[in-house]
Amino acid sequence: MDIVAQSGAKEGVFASYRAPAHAYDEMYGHNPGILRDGWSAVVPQLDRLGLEGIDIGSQLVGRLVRRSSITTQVPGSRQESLQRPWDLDALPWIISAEEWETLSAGLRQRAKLLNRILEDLYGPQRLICNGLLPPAAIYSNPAFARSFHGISVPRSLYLHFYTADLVRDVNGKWLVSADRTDAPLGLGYTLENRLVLSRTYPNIFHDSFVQRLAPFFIQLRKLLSELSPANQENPRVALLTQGPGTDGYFEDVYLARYLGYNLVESGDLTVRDDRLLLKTLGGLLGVDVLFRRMSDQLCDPLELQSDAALGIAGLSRAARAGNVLVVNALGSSLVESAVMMPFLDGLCHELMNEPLKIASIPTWWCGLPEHLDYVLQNQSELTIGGAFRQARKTLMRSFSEPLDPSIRASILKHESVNYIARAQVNRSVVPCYDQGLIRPMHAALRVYLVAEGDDYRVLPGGLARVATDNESLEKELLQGKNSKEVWVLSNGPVPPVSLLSNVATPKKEFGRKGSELTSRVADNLLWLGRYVERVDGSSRVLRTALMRLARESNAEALPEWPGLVRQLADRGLVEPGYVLEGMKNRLPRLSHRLPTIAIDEHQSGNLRDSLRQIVRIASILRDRLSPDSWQVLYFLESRLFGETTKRSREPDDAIGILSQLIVDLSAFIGMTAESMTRTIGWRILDLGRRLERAFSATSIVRQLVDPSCTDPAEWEALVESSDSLMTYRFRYLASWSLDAVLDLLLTDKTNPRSVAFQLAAISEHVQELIVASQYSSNSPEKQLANKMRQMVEQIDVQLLAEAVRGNSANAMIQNIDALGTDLARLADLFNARYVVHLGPVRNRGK
Amino acid sequence: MATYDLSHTTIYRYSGQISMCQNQLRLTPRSDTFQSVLKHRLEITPKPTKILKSFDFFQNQVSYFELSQPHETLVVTSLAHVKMKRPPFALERGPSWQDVATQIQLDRSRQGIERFQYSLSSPHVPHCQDAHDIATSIFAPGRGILEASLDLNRLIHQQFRYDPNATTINTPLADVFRVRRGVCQDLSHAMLACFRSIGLSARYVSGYLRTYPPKDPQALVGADASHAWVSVYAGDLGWIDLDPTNDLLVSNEHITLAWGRDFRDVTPINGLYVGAEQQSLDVAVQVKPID
Repeated sequence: MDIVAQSGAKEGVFASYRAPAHAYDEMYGHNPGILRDGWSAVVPQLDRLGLEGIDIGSQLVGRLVRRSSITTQVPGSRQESLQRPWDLDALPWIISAEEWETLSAGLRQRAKLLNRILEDLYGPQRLICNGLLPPAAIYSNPAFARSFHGISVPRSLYLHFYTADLVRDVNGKWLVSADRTDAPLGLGYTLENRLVLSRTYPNIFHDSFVQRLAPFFIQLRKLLSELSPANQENPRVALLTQGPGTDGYFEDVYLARYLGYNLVESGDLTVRDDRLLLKTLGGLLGVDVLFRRMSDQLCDPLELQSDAALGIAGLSRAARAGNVLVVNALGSSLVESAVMMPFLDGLCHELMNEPLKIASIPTWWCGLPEHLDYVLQNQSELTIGGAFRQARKTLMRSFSEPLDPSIRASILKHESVNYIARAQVNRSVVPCYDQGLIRPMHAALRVYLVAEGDDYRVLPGGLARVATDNESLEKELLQGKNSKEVWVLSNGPVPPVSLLSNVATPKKEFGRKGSELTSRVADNLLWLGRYVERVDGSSRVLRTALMRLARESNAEALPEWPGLVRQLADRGLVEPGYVLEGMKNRLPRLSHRLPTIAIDEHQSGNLRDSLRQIVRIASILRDRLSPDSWQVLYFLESRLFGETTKRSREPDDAIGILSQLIVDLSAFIGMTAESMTRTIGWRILDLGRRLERAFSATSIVRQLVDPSCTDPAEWEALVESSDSLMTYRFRYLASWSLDAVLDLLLTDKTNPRSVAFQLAAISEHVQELIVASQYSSNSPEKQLANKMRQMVEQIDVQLLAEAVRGNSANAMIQNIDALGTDLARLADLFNARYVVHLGPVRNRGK
Repeated sequence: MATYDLSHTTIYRYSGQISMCQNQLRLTPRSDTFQSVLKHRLEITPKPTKILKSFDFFQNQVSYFELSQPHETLVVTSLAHVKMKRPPFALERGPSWQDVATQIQLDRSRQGIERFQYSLSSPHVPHCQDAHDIATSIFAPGRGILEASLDLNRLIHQQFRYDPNATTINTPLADVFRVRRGVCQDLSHAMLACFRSIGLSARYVSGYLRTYPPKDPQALVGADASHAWVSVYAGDLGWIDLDPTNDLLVSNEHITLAWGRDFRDVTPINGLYVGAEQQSLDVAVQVKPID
């Protein structure tokens, strides 16, 4: 960078900070060492901290970000695992009250203007008839939602939200680089940034009179209630996310939680009879307001873009019928296209009788012959891009590859309506903290407005991004690199406001029952429970086997060894070949392989797969789990296996990992027991665990009643695998008998590891789920659960043990085999009842 | 002036159960100066509780229904009596195509804007260099629009072979130009691209052809299913319908169902369903004159 001393401080933390020439310095004015308004209130306090203090602040920011698990999607990836921590600069960008006031007035005007343009374009289209807008600018735009033409929206309000991307040019003039009227990202991150930085510098934050963000969100909630077509007192608002693994997911989860709205994905919603409905365990519930966080063009596969995997078929119909308020209105993305920019000033005069207060970056639309000429002659000084934005795609995407100028000219001529060009602006710079230094970085600012009455309210602050070059700020994606907090100051002390204190209406009773649980979440909770228990059970069997390997030189000769191997094979941890006489000699020796099964991801073992499933589901259920329990699960795999690239062949290392795993999972289970309300969600999670544990316990009992299982050493190993060894020794000391073992693992209702315990819990959960979701009480799953429970209750373990010894237990063995089948059937019935309508939606046309 | 008895049946068979579906039909023929719909009825099995009617942006009638009872087969039949009133056409050169193009580009009246939209590229008819080359070879400066359009109709008919196996719904137009094969839908899209490349307005028309007995020499290509052709704006002559698949100026044997920018705007049946993976489709169309 061309560093030329422009101005600067003689001492203090900013002594080495120099803005480059030809860029507006946000902090220093033209006179050497003179701070701009606003900064003068904050810089002395930062000076008192010193560079060391700021360095500590920077580390604290990093810790807070990690502790709150603020993550961002790695660009271009859709995998949940490809997330990285959010990056926030340790210094705030300061904007004075007066400056903000002027900027706000311009932004509010622009929001109103764009709303009026939409009103006209989806109505009489006078702006086109009057010659102020060329028809091709609208009719070529894929965002023009024809099915909404002629439909009025409540209060003629299309834009409940308006977002603008701003730059400041070399003269200090604010320019809009992009209007965002669809479903822009960043609001959640803005909140998180505020939370982190205000905690980092609580005193400076307080003493600088920083304007609060909460009133914006209070207005947002108020607006959605007022405009709700029904239940204005307490409307059901659904926040529609594009789902895990997409750019916005982290903040969608965050916003839904912060605002107290249902977080939903497309598949959670359906339209029947022109009403938008939420699929829950308790049936279909009407949705009053849909706060969409995905592009309107993706929202309805029936009428808009037809990708059946996203969107809700029939949403347009429900919106047109006025049965649901969609925020922003469907079709709003029309005016965020760059093609609008050259016309906004004229449109502002026409519609508002005043000049545009904040100009756009100078933009030329190739669809106008005189603009095309200009663009062709000045190509090298302009950035060329798409005239129409499609579903959040990057504006400057086209021509990112260097193109031969003649080819480019030909494309521009023949498809002129599809391209714009705009002037390159050298963005202003702000001081940023970078590894012990304070450096100037170019800045982009995204600001947010929400409708209020006939006007708009501006969020005082926003999401700033900084970079050493201008180009990386042209990209639209939030790449999570170097975001920056914005402090808009006030001229006096700011009273604290909290969103919660303004939520006047208490939640109704159904809120407590939790029956609004969506079927998708229910399915995920069930499987989370199952996988957690599966990993726990597998780890214990594996550990039992490994402990024998660790202390015996020839563990494979131990009497209990075949039984343990059978359990390992039963759980898919080793190939089934190891329990077949003819096969096992042809396989590599198990004692060599066993220690690596837990840690080596290339080996077959199901343990690692299950762990990944846990991480995947935890990332989906982020909004349902407490932050602590989420963290335990989300980092489970990386914590255990992250640094172990070493392929240890020592049983003791594997035992250590498994023991840690068991402890971590217990921590998670303990946290859910302590922090989850006993609603349906908890019941389903626990049902998943109980089902899985019942499978596991049944498998162990099945082995105990097998005529081949006669050695007390094997009984002991199986009791140990079941985490019941301590109880057994406490009760019976070292005396081993089959009836005592069977009592403990099969019929003892006080042992949380026994079959009977699981079946009792399953019965209770099934019953409560039926009650909560108001299904007929005589349901097949209830009958099945009761049948299993009664069968086990009637077992006399002494008779059973005698029968096993006399080799006459066939009837009982059949009963136990049937138990395994019945458990699988129960899981199917649960699916059929609660989850089946989650099937994939398919499009006829494809 | 013929009157036709029209029946159009679509049968969807699924590999398993469908638990729910939502459908949008554009199966009601348009009523305009050239044809009147005397009666129209939809028969749907399983029977939906409601069929909701509305008009789309292009003023085609849309019927919507949803089914939430499980089913493995869906049958949609559209039955109509349509009276044709297209007057015999006096062949003339027509106004200069450039005058028409200029009028389209400059007219900012509501009607003018309505017409203008059909001069723009659309999702299935993007700009195509091949189309532009064909159009400029035929539309020499000063030629009459009707005369030149009929030439274009013949050229498309001659250069593109009718081949039901060459393309699918998703074949891009550039590929159609490359292989020079396709069905009525592809030929119509190709012709639209030619008109639009020189600033003329042209729309995609879906409809039906009169049915003749098998092997009857009068039978036209595309009569066993719904058909498609092109309508071009010819200034004072109004909209002129041309059928490139059959190299015809549209007559009273073409019944107009719907029109739009391209196929996607007028899909006879589109919809979504939840359930079975496989779907098979059978279509039968009959258009018989009523004496």
